[in-house]
Amino acid sequence: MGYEFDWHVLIEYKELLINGLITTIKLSALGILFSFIIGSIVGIGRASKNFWISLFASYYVESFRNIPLIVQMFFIYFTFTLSQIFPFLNSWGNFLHINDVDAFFSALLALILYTGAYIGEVVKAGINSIPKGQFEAAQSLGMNRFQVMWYIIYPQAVRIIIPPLTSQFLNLIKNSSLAMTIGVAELTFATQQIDAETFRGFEAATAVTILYIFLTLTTSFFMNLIEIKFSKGVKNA
Amino acid sequence: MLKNIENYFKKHKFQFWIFNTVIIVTLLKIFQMIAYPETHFSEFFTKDNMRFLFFGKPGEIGGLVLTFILAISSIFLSFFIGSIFGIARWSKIKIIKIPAIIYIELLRATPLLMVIFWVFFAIPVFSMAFFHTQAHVSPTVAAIIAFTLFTSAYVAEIVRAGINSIPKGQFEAAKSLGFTSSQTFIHIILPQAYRKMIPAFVSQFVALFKDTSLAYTIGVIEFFRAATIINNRLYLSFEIFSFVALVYFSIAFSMSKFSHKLEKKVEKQLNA
Amino acid sequence: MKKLLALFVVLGIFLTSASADLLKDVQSRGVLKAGVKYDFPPFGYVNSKGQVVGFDIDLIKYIAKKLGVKPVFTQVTSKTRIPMVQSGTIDIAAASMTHKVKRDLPIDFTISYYFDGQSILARKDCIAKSYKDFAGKRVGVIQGATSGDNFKRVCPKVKLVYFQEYPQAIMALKRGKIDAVSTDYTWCATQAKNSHGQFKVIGKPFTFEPYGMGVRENESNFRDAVNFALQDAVRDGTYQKLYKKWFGTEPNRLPEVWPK
Repeated sequence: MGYEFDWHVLIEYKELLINGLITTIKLSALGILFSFIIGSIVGIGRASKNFWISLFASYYVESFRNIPLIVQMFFIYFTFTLSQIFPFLNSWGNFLHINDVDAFFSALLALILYTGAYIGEVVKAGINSIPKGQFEAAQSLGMNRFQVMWYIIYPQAVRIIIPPLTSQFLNLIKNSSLAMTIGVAELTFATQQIDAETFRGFEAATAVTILYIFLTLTTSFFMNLIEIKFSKGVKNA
Repeated sequence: MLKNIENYFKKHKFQFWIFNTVIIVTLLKIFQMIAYPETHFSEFFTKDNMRFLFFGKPGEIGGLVLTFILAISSIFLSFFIGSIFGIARWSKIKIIKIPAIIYIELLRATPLLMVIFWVFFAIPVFSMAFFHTQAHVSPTVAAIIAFTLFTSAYVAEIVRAGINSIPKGQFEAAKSLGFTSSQTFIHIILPQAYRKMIPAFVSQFVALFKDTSLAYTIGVIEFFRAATIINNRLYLSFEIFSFVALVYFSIAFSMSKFSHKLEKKVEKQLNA
Repeated sequence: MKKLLALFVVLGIFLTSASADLLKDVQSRGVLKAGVKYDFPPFGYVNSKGQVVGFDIDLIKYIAKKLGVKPVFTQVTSKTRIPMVQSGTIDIAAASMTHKVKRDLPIDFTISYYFDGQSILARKDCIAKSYKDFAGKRVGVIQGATSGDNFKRVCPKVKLVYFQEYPQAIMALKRGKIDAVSTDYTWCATQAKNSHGQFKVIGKPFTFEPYGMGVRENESNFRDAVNFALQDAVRDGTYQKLYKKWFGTEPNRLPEVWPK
């Protein structure tokens, strides 16, 4: 009496899987974009010579890094009704074809805040690895602090941080699975839904794992391309 | 004047931390007054609730205690399993290296939630198919297995990086002194490598500690699930989850500060 | 391959193989492992003292006494109750589970011990009269329960929002994130009653939901023992007493009692 594998459930439920994949991609893409923006701002703050700016940036980083992501998601989702606080979210939700605006944006916000904190540390390390001489040289040429950061330091730092940044982006893609606990119908949710209806959890889990591997490989691939592009013209790339 | 305050804090660490705590508490209080003016903390902070949160149901192990048990057992087991795979991954022998690569990359590409799902729902199926026995795993054990498998892949990478960081010269020196490969490994390379890896291990433990909250999905009544059970009865999400966040933060933050101190000590030792 | 084998040897410490007779196992163990819901009053929920109580819990306690063993309760959700019975983590699932033919394939069911129907719970300002009015609206259901499928069958254009636990659905309903919650009538009526006018039940029950307790497939002796115990509860009046205690009325229909 073995276990009869029934791979046809995957075809029966392909809509659920495809919708789940699309939702995961939406969460991941928006999450990556905004956590990178926030992470860069925070990271520049953390690397600042000003004690107080660095301190306040570290408040953000330490708070959001040390609280589990699922706790952040629950806190945001169950305490606040985001669509009432930010009315424009409803139109975005319609634009992105999201059934449950509140759950999606709560999960997205938590993902952004959480990953942004980690990216902040990555960016800080990247900026700190640029030789100090460059700051001084640029300033002696008459640039103020913002110009130095924006034109000289940050672009170089971006190239250096691409490997750890990629790793944070991959973490974000994997962490998007937590959105299922507050009801977002993404990939991991699809696995459990198929299992609940057909008791074919093994087949569903196999398909979804393959999809996640596909997502992470594609992202790594693109980040590699970006790294190569940024490394053109750099001597010891 | 700001510069003076800054210097003062650099010299007096304790007052610095008091200052930090006061600022953060003030910021949180301002946030609370804007976002959620009427708090009902007293309804939540009863002795029964606290006992349930920290110790679980009377007569069972649960709550924060179970969180620690999950984290500690998993890090302990994954230390061994991860080391095996890490050394295998580092090895140059293809037959050993390739399965290790598959194991590590597969687990690192899968979300922890999926690994938990695999272990809880798929292993009984697996054992039925191949061993014709109905495997019976309790949620807690399934959680430990899932955490161990997942963490061992990351530990394997830490171990590989640690061994890689030992200068090649040591291998050659040992060989010239007549050590065999395994002797070199056990007596020379590994002790140095593991000492270097300690900070990475501690940070992995902190991450695992936070991830225990995911055991919630298969019904393990650890700290987070206990909180959601109370919330299901009282519907006080702001009070309950902010308390939960505070507890996790305090523990995780202290552990990472401790790891920083450890890192500094190790660096001093290695550069002595 | 060797590592896989080693892994399973380690797992072997935690594995037990299926026995020939669950009833003998339970009685020699002296413990009946029961899965109940922790979030579904009045069938199973956690009270302020942290104790698990409810109609299902009391029935299990009676059955355990009849079998001569002690009951031990574990939490299950609509999603986990069947896998946990299948894998032997629990011996019996008394978790407001509807006896469906599809579910009878992986596990077996006892006789039906409660008769309900699916209904809809909405806020008091809802103008809908029945499930037909929910096309395009967001209705909360629990993942793994029959409610999602049933609703989609009678109202295909509904937007289902899946929750893991009932209180999460209630919170979402309270805050306007969803327009209604759909599950069995008893739960909806209880919530409406306790909500001080905030919620109300919409329409009449539109499905037939007979509850059965879930037990492992092909364990006739165990299933018989549980069935006989349930029928004893009806014979000696305990069932009616518990029904009155948890639902406040006389039973609308009794579980069938076979002549001895």
